[in-house]
Amino acid sequence: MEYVLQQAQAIRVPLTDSSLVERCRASDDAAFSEVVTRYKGKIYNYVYRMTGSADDAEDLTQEVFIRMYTSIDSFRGQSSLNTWLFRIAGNLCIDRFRRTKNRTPAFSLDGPLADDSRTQEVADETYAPHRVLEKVEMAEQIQAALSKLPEKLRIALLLHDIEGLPYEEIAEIAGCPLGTVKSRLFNARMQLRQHLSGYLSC
Amino acid sequence: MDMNCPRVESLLSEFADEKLDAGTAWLVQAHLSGCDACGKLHRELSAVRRMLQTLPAATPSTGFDAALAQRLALARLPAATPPAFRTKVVGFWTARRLRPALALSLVLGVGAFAALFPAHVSTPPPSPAITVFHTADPAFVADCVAQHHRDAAAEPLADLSAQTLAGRLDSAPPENAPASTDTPADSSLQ
Repeated sequence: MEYVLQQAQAIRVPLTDSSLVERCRASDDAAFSEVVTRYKGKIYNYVYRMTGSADDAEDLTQEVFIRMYTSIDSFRGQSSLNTWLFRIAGNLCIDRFRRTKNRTPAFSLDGPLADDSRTQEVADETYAPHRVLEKVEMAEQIQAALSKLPEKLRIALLLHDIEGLPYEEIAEIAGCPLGTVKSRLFNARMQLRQHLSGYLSC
Repeated sequence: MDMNCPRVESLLSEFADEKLDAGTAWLVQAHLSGCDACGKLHRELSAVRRMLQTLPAATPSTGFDAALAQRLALARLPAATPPAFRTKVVGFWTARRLRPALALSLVLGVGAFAALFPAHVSTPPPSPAITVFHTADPAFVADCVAQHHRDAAAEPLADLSAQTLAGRLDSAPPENAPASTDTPADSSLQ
């Protein structure tokens, strides 16, 4: 089976997601690696925009693929692999938010300090590759504005405007009707517009 | 379809995503061209959408695959075998937190049994004294005792030490000595 996969890759024939899933079910490590290669960028970017933390994004993205590996037999193929992975990622993000909500209160770097005598220590990731571009002020402000959105609105907005998924697939991932997706997108954009009003020169 | 401002506002998100049918999109566009407030809102929502799409894509670190492989190896390990039913039952009843309750229930149970069935738990009456009857003939017993004393006083080993054989066992016979003629005496010891 691995030989077939290697041959397919050698002649540049992209394997479909469904065939990769079938191979993963047969404990084909090469197929699993192909799934990781194909989706880790999208899932990581999505989780990063959801959490706003590179460490959390790394950890949760790995957890997504571990969940996929351990529960591949329960995947019936009624939805696409893309949908399934984004759904796992969204659920893991929400679980993480709920667990850390009472433990580590989030704070904004540009927000006022509650106590002037306190100092806030921030990890220096100046030279991390995924951090270099985010030094742009606009990107930071957008991320901060995203973090202020309710989780459900954020999921819909990121899946559509960043990942480019259609309404129908977002409804499947979020487990809600199509009309709810439209309404969440509208509300998310309206709230984001309010948070970024200082940067909108229309 | 009447396209007033609230109606247009609710459609602006889909309009920006080009999800409206052609007729509705034309009506919205016509309203926007004549309404400054809705036009401004439309431009702002479109700007928000563009800002999101210009965000740089975050990428995982170079050690992502190695870390994933390591975690996957741990996930592949067989899960710990769940404890057997007997172990669970024994563990439940021997739990430290249950010991006082178990001791109390045991005491209460014994007390209740004693109250309900006193005949089973009362102290048994003392048994009568056992009388031993010796049936042997006293004359026979006295005879046995006398015989024992006689045997003890006879010193049966004294007869053997008095024989010449005792002296002969103290030294080895000389080499090339002729065969002993005392065979009958030796054979008597055999």
